Amino acid sequence: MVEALRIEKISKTFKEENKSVTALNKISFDVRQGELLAIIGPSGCGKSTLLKIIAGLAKPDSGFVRHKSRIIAEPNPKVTMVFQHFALFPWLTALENVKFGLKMRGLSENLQEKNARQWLREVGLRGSEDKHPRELSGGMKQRVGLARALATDAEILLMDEPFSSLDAFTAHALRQDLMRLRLKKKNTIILVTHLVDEAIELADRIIVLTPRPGSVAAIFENKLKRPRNKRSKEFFRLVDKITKTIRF
Amino acid sequence: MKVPSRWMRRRLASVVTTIFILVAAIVALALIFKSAKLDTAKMFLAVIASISRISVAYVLSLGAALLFAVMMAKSKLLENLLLPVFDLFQSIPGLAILPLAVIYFGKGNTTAIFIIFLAMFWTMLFTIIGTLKGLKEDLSEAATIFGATGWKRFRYFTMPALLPAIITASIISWGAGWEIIIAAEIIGISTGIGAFLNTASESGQTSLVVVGIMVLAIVVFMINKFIWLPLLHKTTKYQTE
Repeated sequence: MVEALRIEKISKTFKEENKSVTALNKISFDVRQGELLAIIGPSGCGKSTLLKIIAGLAKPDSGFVRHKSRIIAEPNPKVTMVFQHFALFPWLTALENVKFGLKMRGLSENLQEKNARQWLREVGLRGSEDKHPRELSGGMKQRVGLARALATDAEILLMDEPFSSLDAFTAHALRQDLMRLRLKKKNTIILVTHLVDEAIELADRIIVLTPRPGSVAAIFENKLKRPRNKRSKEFFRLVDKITKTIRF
Repeated sequence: MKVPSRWMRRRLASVVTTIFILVAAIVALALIFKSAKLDTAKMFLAVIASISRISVAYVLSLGAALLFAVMMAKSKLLENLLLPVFDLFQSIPGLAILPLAVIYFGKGNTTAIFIIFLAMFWTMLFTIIGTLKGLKEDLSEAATIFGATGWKRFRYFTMPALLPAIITASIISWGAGWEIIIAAEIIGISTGIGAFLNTASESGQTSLVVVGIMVLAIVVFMINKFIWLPLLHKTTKYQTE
C-alpha cells in the first residue's frame, strides 16, 4: 500500500473580532495512493478548511501535509480541485475553461486543445465546447469543472461537496460518471461530503470528523462490492454504523 | 412572441438614435454654413485637442488605478497605508486644483491632462478595488489551483474578471472627463473646445457657440454609441451566471 499523502497533526484557529474559533484540532491520517477517501462530518466541522489546507490554499497553524517526501505548503501542480459551486470562469467557454490549467502550465496550444476536447468528450459534453457557463445547466457546469480538473496531470483530486448544489438526478448521474472516469485516470481522490449515503456509495475509506473543533472521530474501511447496491442489507448496516459515530 | 417584440423594440431604438444623429448633424451643418465667420478647421482642431487630452488622461488613470488597486489587493499593509490618504485626496474637488496646477504646469496640455486625470482616477481606482474585493473567493482559488501566477494571472484571470467593471468605470470617467476639461478650458486653459466656446461667447457669436455645442454633443454621442456601449455589451454578456 503506497501512501499518497500524509496529514500530520493539522490545527487551524480563526480569529473573529474578539474571540478565536478552533476549526481543526490535531487532525492526522494517511491517504493511500489511488483510493477514494471520503471525509464526512456535520457542517462547521472544518471539512472545507481541511481541503483548502491540503490544496495549499490555506496555511495550518501547526502540522503539515506531506506528498511523498515533500511538504505541501503552497498550491501545487500535483493537486487539483473540483469546487462546490463550480467556480468556472464566466468569460471563458467550456473548452477555454478546461484549457485554462493547461495554458497556465505552459502546454502547447495544440496539446491544450486536444486534451481539453478529449476530456469534455469524456464527461459527455461533446457539442457544448463553445458555450459559456451561463448557457450551461448546473450538472453541465460541474462536468466542465470535472473535465478541467482531470485534464491536468495532477495525481490528487480534491472534491469539495461537488454534488451538493445539484438536483438528485443530476447528482446521481455525475456520481456514476465519476466512478467510470476514475477507472481511466486512477487519481487519488479526497471527497468532502455531508451525505453518509454518498460517502458509502463512492468511497474506499470514510473518515468521520467531530463537530467543531474538527478532529478524527472514526475511520471506516468500505469493503462493499462495486457497483454498490444502495438498497442492500450491507449498505444499510454500514450507514447505521457510520451514522452512530457522527455527533452534531 | 417575446423574441420578435424585443427585437422590434431594439430596432426601433436604433432607428430613433440614427434619426437623432442625422437631425443633429443637419442642424449643425446648417448653422455652420449660416455663420460666415466660422473657421471649421479651427473648431475641429479644438475638439481634437480636448479629446486627445481626455484620452491621454484616461490611459494614465487606468494604468495608475490598476497598478494601485492590484498592489493594494496584494498587500494589506499597503492598503491600510494608502486608503486613508486616497480617501482624503478624493475629497478635494478637481477644479480647486486648477489654479495650483496652472502655477506649476502653465496653461497648456500638462495642466489639462493633470486635471482630467484627477477627475478620472478616483472613480477608476475605487471601482477596481471594490470589484477585486467582491470577486468570488472560489473563482480566485480556482485560478490559483490551476496555476495562474504573476503576469499570466493578471493577463488571463485578473484582467478579464475586472473588465466589465473597468468598462463601466470608463464610461463614468469619460463623462466626468468631458465635464471637467470643458470647465477647465473655459476658465484657465487657452486651447480646446471649451476655450473655443468661451471665445465665441465673449465675442457675442451666439451661432458659433451653438454650433460648438452641437458638434460636441455629436462627438460625445458617437464615442458612447460606437465605442463604449459595444464594449459594455461584449464584456457583460457572459458575466452573470
